[in-house]
Amino acid sequence: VAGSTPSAAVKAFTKPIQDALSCFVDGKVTADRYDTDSEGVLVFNRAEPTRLPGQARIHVAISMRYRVVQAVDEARGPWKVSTTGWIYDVLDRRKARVVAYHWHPISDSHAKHPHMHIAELGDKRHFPTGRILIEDVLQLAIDLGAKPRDESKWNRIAGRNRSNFALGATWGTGHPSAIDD
Amino acid sequence: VGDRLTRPKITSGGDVASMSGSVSFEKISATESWRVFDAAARRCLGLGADELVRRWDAGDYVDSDSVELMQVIMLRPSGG
Repeated sequence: VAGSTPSAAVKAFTKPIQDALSCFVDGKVTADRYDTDSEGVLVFNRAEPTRLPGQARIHVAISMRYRVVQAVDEARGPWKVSTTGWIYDVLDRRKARVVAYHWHPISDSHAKHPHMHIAELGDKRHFPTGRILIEDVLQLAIDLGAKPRDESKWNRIAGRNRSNFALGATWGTGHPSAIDD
Repeated sequence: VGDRLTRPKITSGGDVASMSGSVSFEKISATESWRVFDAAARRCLGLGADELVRRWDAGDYVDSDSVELMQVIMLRPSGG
């Protein structure tokens, strides 16, 4: 996701995240860095569990780490944001974890590859994943009973976000079938 | 259409979901980011961020595979 300045790049990075989440809830995405020499932290609603609409009362908790870097493709730059980690938690009505998607390469001893924890199978197991997008997390939430405010709008935004992401991603672009939308 | 976008929707399950909502963006300071980190540490681990960082940097968690620990430490602001 590119921008003419580091701050514009961060804002361009957060915009599709805001759009996807706003299909379900109100809230605030925050980011703590625009500078290019350190990682930033991005969270939704202070990384606290946020309840999604729907009788299943599914919650999500979302945080990411990112770095503002120079874009290789200057036409899409000169600045872009590169994701450097994520923690996506999907929780049930009691805020008990159902699934946690993790990528935390800052860890020395933990699994450094993208992986998931499935509560029913025990938190200690690391099931490898590819790249996980916010849209993937929200689609799982829907599968578990969350209800977007407007399903057709959600489908449009999720498809658009996946397609746009695929244009600039350097690895892992989510569901290939959705990119054709 | 405008009415649909602004009137709260009450579902049969009693859920109230605003149809007019949005998700805003805010750039926060390093101090505020630390507050987010500290609140998560207290909520998930039962200790403050200062103590968590002290233990993490001392290597106390090298052998830990706690999901909660990683969820919190990923919120540590750079330079903090």
